[in-house]
Amino acid sequence: MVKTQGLCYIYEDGTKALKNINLNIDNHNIIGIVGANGSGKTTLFFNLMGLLKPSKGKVFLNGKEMKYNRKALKKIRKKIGIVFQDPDKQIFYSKVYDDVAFGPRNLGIGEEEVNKIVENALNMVDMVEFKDKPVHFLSYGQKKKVAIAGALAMNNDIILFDEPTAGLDPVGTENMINIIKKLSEKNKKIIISSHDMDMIYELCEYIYIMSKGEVIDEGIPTRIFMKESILKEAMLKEPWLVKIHKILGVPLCEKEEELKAFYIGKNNK
Amino acid sequence: MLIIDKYSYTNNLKDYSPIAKFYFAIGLMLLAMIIDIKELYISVFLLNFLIITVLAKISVKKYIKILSIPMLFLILGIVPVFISLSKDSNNFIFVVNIWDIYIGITEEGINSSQILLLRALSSVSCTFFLILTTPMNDLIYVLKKHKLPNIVIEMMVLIYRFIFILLDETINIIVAQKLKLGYMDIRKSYKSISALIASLFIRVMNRYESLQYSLDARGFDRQFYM
Repeated sequence: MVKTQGLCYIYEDGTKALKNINLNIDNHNIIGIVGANGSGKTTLFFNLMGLLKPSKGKVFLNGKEMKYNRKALKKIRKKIGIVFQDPDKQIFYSKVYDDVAFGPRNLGIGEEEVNKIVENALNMVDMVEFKDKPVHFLSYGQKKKVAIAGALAMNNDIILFDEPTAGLDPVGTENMINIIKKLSEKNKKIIISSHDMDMIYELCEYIYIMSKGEVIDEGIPTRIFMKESILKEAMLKEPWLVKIHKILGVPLCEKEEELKAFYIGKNNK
Repeated sequence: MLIIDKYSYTNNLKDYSPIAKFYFAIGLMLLAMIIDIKELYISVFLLNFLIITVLAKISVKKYIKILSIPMLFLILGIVPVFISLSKDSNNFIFVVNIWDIYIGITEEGINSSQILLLRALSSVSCTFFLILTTPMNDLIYVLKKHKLPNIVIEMMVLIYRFIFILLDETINIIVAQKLKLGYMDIRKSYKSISALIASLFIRVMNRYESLQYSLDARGFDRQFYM
């Protein structure tokens, strides 16, 4: 699906934001990209979307090298969507419906079909009853959901989430995780950038760790989060499940439910 | 949050047909503009007053507060009509003589300033009826129905959305400045306001950039479809 080869990106002011990134998301459905603030996650996303053109290296979409003319970019938009960190930067219309309909209308889809798409997208994020509400009456979490619906309405195969849980309350975070899970069940590829270690650990099948514009390690969560030195270099912390594994010696669980099941089994013995 | 905007979404008439409200307001306004009867102006004003406070259930106190803003401009505007200048002292009811110019009040001046005041008040009340009872998004729908050029509607939609973003940013900065005692005296207030404008400008440019990306990511093809 998406692959990068020796991707480098240098900003106009000379900052090397990305250095030799090799990424391949073919074999996993939910991929996490973790790193501290300023490690290059968002720049990487913009390169994957074709919003920025790599200074060096290549991005491949479905095996073909990405091109940057108008026609090619339109095709890319149908394949990959993005949910930005700040929903206010993504929402243009003052009415929820119109904003979600923005993408499909840009693709030239007829009004009747657009209506269905918008209904579906709002349904996925539980926001149907806000259809006619003005955006500035919504809370941050609700705006975030509208932004996701806007991305869903594009019906992309791949959706990038930039810091999906940043600024959300615990329930909002849980809702977000459920939405992402639901999307993945519908065969969408998801790439998440975040430094919410617990969320990433439970949700992602494969993880890239970034530090100062480089991917310093990659692997499955249970393996990668055991490497203390790598986490330290990336200025990240261990997820709580890894912490209690290390401190209390309980088996390393992938999900909270596993841990519960382990204790229930132990008590029954 | 803008108070007028809040009322437009919460008043009792918000779900009433926007087209009907639009024609009612425009019709009354045209009537008041064409016909020169003081009683008509007064009744239009009172009618709107009753609709806004009784039917739409916006409190009288709040409505008067909203009215006071255009009232200030109205009164300032009427002063030059009310006061007349002349070379001779005929026709004046009350007059002061400064050098060889007579400054004072004439019958005609009173009459025309009365008409001006009442006509403006009745028209303003029609506008307030429309904007206080009709949510902006409904108003946009009405204008679209009447085939207003797309570019105008696009601008309205975008401006309406971004007013609130700008307002939010402004309020955030002002609160931060107040917390650091930025408005303690006049000198500091001037300084704070200049810093506010400077940082707002930078934020607007930043936002412009990220909006560009977001438009791009959502397949924008140079037209905002409504």
